[in-house]
Amino acid sequence: MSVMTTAEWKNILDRVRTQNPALVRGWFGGLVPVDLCGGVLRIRAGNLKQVRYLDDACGSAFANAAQQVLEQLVTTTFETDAPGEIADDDGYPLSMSENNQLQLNEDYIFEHFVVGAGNRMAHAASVAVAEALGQTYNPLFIHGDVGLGKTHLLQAICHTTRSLNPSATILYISCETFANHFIEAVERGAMNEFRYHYRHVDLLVIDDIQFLGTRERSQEEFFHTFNTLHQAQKQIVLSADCPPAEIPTLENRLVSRFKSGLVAFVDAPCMETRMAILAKKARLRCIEVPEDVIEYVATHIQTNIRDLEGALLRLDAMSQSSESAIDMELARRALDDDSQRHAITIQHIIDVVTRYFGVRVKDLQSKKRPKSISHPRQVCMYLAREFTSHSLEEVGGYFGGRDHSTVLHADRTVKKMVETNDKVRRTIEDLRATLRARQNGAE
Amino acid sequence: MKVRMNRQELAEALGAVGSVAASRTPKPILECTMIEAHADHCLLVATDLEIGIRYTVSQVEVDETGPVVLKADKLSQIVRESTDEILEFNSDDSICHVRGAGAHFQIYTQPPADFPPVAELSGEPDFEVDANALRRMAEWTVLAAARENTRYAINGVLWERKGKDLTMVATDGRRLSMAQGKLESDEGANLECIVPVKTMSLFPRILGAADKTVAVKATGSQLVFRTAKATISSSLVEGQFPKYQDVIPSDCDCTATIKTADMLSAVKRSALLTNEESKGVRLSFSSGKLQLSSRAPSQGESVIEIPIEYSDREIEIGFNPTFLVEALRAVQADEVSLDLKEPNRPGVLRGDKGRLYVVMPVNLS
Repeated sequence: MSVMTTAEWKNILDRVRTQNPALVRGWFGGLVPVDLCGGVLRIRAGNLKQVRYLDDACGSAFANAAQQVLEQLVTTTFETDAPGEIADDDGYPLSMSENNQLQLNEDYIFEHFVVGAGNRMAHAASVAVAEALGQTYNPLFIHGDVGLGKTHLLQAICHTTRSLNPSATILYISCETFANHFIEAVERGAMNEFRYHYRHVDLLVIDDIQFLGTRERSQEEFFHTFNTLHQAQKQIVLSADCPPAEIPTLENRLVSRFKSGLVAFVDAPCMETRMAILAKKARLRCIEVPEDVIEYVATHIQTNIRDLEGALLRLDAMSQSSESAIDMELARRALDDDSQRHAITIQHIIDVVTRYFGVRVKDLQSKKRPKSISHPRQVCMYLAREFTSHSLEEVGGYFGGRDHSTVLHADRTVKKMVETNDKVRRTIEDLRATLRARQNGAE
Repeated sequence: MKVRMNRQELAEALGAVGSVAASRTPKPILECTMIEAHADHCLLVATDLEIGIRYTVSQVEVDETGPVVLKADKLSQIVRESTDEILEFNSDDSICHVRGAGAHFQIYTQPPADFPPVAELSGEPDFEVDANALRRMAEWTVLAAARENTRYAINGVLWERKGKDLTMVATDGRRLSMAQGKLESDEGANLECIVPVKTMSLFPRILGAADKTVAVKATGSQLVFRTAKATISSSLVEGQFPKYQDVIPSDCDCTATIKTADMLSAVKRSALLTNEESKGVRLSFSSGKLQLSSRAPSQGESVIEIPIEYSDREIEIGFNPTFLVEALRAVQADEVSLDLKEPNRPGVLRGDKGRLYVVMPVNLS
């Protein structure tokens, strides 16, 4: 078994990229040559979906490139060591079971999960649950904002369960699917099948359970499903974007049941965690990212992990299209579009504006309405509308709970003043420049 | 045993059997040939444990049946150097006496009980191949087969039998040869396996005028062949053969038609002024002509031009002359065609019907 040199492999990838640009996908960087034996170059992809795409579209592109680089008549095969979908062999009618199981992302395993202060408890609880189904925390309820790793933990539980206990029946679905199945079962008069399907599993994992809130009948059915499984000591894992009690219109009996196990919160990652996440994602995708760039990205993208990953992919794509290595220069350019706007928070704006006008934050948030305070406050609101994606209500909330019409009024007032009043225009331009400088890491 | 054999026939038999016997092995018995004297014929048996052969010698007079095991190469030398028409073999426990006119060799033997078993073709064969076709397919494919295992190729020839179609493919990573043939019947099991080069090389050697067809049967990890005089059992090469269809370019848009003899002569001459460093011969195709140029640093250079049928765009490509010569020699047709696409993409040489040869260019820049 021998694999080619890194330079040869890079050369092959480059040729595929230049000769067949339309075929190239962002994750090509993550492909790994496994071995070159008997005239066959085996290439490992991240998951089955990638393998199917490569098989369907890219066989000859890779073979040609490999032949040119190696000057040998080689062919290529694509494979993945990620296991296939979870078997769904419990005899449930195909019409329903088809496509209902969410595909597990093979990257979402515990080994790839970066533990930080914000998610330590949720992670520990997930590991404990996966290692002893139905015995430690039942149900496990994970909540947190979008893109913070809830789905990763849920799928990691499935992966681990599957490897520790291959015979366990796992059902991993979204809340939406549950509700749709329920409706379909009611229409077809196939409630027995439905109940059998959902009540004979060892592990039931439902993502985004908050959507159950709006569906009364589904809630009721889920209540019974929950009880059956819970009594049989079968594991239930749920995720939502808020704690059980805050899911609107969720019946109390469900709220109390959700809270009966462990409710774990995942918080936004701190700076160190973000850096660790970036480093790990970069390694998984075989993207070489220098330390200072990782720090830069982690500083500028604070929202969630999906955005971090998006930034990393953009860096990779840009470095490939410009054929240069990833460095600070490239990172600045890559982050200089819309993702940057998220990097500016209302807090930044308040900082800059209060310093500029020499007012106190407390005054801005108070009910005081002299012009010396109301003007900076309006400027803040105006800039917040421009630089952040917060809603009118949310912006109002930052300034002493003012309602949306106040923010709208401030926005319009400042807009008009910018057009008519040179002094105000200059002020706003100064403030914008300061904010942008901060955006680009000058401060 | 005691037996008299026709020396000529025995020499032929030993030629085939001797090529199977192992030459360097820690087990001396594998360097031997076993002669089994039966009532009306003798059987010469040899094996290197991967390939086994049983070869029948029919012009014999048997006085006493029984086996004897002798060093294959020594026996072969004695038979070759002798001048007699008939040689007599007479063995006791540990010595075999070989007698010709005025000659007497006493050769130490090995115990026949130690000789490993060699499979026969039992039962009905899976299918039968025309002997001449098999010989020619073997010749064509073996020339591109890898002689040793490299990371690029498998040293075997792929056999693919689907109904009436029999396809053989071999590649050493720089070239690939494919031969397609038709079977008389589509009965019997389909087959896909890799036959070692050593086995394939036996067919041109042992298939003679007497052979009409060769019977083939797959038995688990072995393939057994039966010809008029011999039964060959061969282990198979493990592993996955490269997807050869992917290697054969299908998008070539330049096709030259060239007289085989002209091409062969031109490439051979051009190759005279190449060496390890210059690697290849440059082929420049332009309307109606092919120019071959070569250069050997410190020796000189050559330009050879031959007329061809060609009307596509001008193209320049480098090839290893040895690869072209070996293929062109094996072609029987008067004309060959060469399909090309780019200087860095493989070319396809076609000559006889059902034969195809893909060859990787060399980079001359």
